[in-house]
Amino acid sequence: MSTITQDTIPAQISTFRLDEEWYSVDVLKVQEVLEPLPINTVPLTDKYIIGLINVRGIIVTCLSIKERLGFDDCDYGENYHNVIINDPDDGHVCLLVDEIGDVIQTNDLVFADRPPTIPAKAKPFIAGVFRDKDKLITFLDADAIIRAS
Amino acid sequence: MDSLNAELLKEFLWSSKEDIDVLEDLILAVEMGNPDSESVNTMYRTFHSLKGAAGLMQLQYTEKAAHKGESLLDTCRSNPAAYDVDVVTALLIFVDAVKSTILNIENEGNEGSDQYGEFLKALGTIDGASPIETTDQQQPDPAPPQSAPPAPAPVPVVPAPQAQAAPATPPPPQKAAPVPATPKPVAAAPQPTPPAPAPTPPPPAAAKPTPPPRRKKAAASEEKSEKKEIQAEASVRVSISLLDQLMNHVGELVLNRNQLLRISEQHDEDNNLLAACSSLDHVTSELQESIMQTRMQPVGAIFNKFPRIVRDLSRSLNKKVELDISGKETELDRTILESMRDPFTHILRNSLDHGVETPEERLAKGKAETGTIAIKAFHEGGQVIIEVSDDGNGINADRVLNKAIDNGLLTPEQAERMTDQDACNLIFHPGLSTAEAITNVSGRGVGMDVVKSNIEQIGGNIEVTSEYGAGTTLRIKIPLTLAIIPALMVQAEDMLYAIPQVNLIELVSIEPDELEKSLENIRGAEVYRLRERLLTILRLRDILNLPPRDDDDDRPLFIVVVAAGDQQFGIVVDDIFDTEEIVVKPLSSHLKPIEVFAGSTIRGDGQICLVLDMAGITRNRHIDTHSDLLSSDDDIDAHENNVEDQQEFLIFNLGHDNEQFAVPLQLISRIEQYPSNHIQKINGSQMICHDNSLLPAVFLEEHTKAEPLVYSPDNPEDTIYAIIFQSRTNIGLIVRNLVDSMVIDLSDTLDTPEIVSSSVATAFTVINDHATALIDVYALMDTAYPPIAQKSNTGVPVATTQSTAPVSTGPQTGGSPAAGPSLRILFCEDAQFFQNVVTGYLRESGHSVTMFENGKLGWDHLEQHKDDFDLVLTDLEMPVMNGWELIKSIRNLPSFDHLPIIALTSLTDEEARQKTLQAGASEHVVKLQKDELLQSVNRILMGQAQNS
Repeated sequence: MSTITQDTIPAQISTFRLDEEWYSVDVLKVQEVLEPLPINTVPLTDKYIIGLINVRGIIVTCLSIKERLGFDDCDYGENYHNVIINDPDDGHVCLLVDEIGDVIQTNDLVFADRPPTIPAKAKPFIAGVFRDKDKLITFLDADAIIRAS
Repeated sequence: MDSLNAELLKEFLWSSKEDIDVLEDLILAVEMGNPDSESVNTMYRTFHSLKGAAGLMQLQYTEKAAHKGESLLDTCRSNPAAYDVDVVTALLIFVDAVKSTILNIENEGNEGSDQYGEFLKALGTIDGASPIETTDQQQPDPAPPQSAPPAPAPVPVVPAPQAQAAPATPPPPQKAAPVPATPKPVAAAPQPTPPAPAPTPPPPAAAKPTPPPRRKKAAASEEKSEKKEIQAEASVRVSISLLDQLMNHVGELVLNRNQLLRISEQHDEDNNLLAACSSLDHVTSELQESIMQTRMQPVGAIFNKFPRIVRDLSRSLNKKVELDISGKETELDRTILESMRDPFTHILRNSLDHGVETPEERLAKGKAETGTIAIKAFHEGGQVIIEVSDDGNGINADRVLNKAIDNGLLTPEQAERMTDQDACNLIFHPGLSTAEAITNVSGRGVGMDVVKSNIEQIGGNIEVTSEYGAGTTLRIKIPLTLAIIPALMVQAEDMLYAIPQVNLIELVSIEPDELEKSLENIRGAEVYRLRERLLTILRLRDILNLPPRDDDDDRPLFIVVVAAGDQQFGIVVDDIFDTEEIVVKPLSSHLKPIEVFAGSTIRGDGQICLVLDMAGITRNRHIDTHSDLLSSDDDIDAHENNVEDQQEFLIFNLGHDNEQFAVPLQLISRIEQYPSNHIQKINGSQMICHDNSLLPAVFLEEHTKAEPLVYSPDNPEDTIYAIIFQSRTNIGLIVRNLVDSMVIDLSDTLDTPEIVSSSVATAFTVINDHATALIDVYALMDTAYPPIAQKSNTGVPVATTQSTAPVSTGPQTGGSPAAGPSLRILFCEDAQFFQNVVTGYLRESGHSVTMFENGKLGWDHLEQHKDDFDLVLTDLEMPVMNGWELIKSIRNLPSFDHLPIIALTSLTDEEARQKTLQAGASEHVVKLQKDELLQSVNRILMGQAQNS
């Protein structure tokens, strides 16, 4: 997985909320954000695979970031959003988030490496942390999140 | 190279490819005999333009060779008699040389140096036509290509043919000269007629009387090639990936259209909307059709190779064969077409080798000396039909039947009942070769099963009809496209799944009140008796790991009977819906590892539906979902319960409750029920007489320490079962009760106490509190019916043409004592059952076997005793060190480079096979396929004999 240095910090990040925390991915990885669509579950899959959605005729696999990061409660409420990520291998993958936030310029933010205390399960997916005044925005490695495991 | 040149070179390659294809067609169309002037002129022109283009691109060798060809053709132009077999051969060699040059340029950027050596040699052998080549070869360093004429020639006639390259030089007087100079006065005879005034093509040729029969054909191909040129101008080259992308988009558009139509139906008050939708409907359909068209290619694309194959092969076999191709323009989906190339080549070779007789035989039978192979392609009922027929010897049904009986595929009684038509279809059975001598061209039967399976893989089928003495016709049906397939929609829980129609055999619905009777052995695995055949039943909910259906017994049970490869089984589904045409889309990498799904599709209402993969389900039929699906290679612990060592067994008894036996279900061909009094003693052997047929009966107690079978032959009501195995000989193992069929984990068998074990009962396990002996079916058959006339049908020439000794399946190594008749085999296998069975039949074949329980132990031993083994045989799934790791370890040491490895596995899928072969195994053999394993071992033995 890619490690983020000061030079490789993306210019803009797309932020979103999971439970009460704020997260972000490189805005260039995001293709679009969609309202909830009917999800077809797939039997025999790992928990982090929520199912398949039909995005204008393209079948997209939905993943749960919460499962990947090891949240205690991995349910999404009624008002979740689909963040469609460009996947170089598979075309598209959809990530479910609770609320979509702003796209933020990163040059106003302070970047820090990921804290050593984050749980092992989440470690591979977290690239670092942005601080926006008193708000922390965890920066996720989108490639790692969407990679099949 | 600058971009202009690169562009030019690309253009050159493209046009040369086309030219050379046209040239090859033309050469073959004219073949021997006197060509008409127009054909030779066209060939001449092709050479000429090739020469020009090559000169421009500074491809010296090509230019020089084309120049020589041009000269040669010019000679033929003025003297058609010179156009003989040697010329044709030389021209074809040239065609090949240009092809490989083009490849060379594409791959390495230069034309290579030695492409035309053979062509020049072939030119040298052409007597009379052009003395120039001989002189040329005598010259140690031929002058630079373009400046050939001024070269000081030792023979005065030299400049003449070369002069054609430069039309400015006055050729006529010299041109006449080479002819008298030729050593062949015959060729000179017609010469006086054309004292050609100019080197320009048409006039002299026009004067030639052209032989009428050949003319038509040549003219036809001439027309065709012209048409081709015109078509090339009017078309644009598009990359295949772009087409595939377009295809995808259109697929989506179609689905959107369907959705829109559905919505518009709900708003039928709005006429504008309805009109717009209906026109969208039309346009979309047409667009879809057009896009489908772009994926289509004429079958000619593969047929075009055939004339050459036929020509080369018929010459090497000394046969005269004419190939008649029609329907070249019939179109097929590109992917299908590609996958048909090999099967068709095989069929053609077969027809040539075994179908068409030699000219002498044909004349003796009163047939025309030249045989005909006709290939006909046409559309019929939404499918493409391709017929390959020859007017050769046809299939000798009796010989096929005899062979089948010898090989144990049929009993004489079964054979008796077979029609000739059925007998002909036996040629598709694996390992049935009726060729008395297997030639290097083909041994009919060795590959026909592969042809059949290839064709079936793409959803087609193949039939053969043959009249002995008059010819054979193979009729192949192929679906038009793979992109859209019909599929049956079935339901499990609240989701729909698609089962491809190709896999579908029939649908069965069982009323609730019949359920008890018809579904048997409801424990572990279910079996349904469908027309006296045992059908393994799987439940879709189980396969998908869904909760079982509520016990609402008022609904019938739906069974979808499907086939995957050779296996048939039934899938119980909640509900069955219609068949729909679906566009199968590949699964994302997250879902790919789930082998029971082949893809997904979007239905007309926008819902996503998963497509079930029948082959995947067979592989995965006893699903231990997560450990199985998600296990990674380094996760050794997860293999403890691996599928590899699990085999499905049929459990039975002989009438004593405390004594059970089990045989692998895989080896059972069928089970029949007979009245006990049908077992009779005939000529000292026990036989089952039924319906005027005899089946040798085998009693287990005669070969093991089992208690005798309980049965009462005097009671007409009493019935017993006979288990009939898939094997060389038809025998019925007589049993009292069928208890169950279930999966037994063979890594979990008991240590075999010496007292109770025998060669037939190899391992023991406990099933439902009963000790159960696992029967080695091969050992049982061998002890019951010692293989006196066993013909090991190995497909290895030595083994099939000689009658092998009963036990030694090892081939005669043809006077190379170094290899010896046996191999020293290192065998790694963790399951005791397989250890015993496999070691048993290898030892029986004269090999020595050293056994290890896992890859690690085997590897340690092998490292220390490097030269002690000729062959490694290994299971794949093993604890500590698995088979793949073992193979890789062996392949990593250079000293084991030549050590053959056979991977022995119950993973039958292509993916596993590829993985194994990639790891470095020489062969991949499915467990319990005794014959196949011995064949592989023999092949290795053969290879060794050749090397030593």
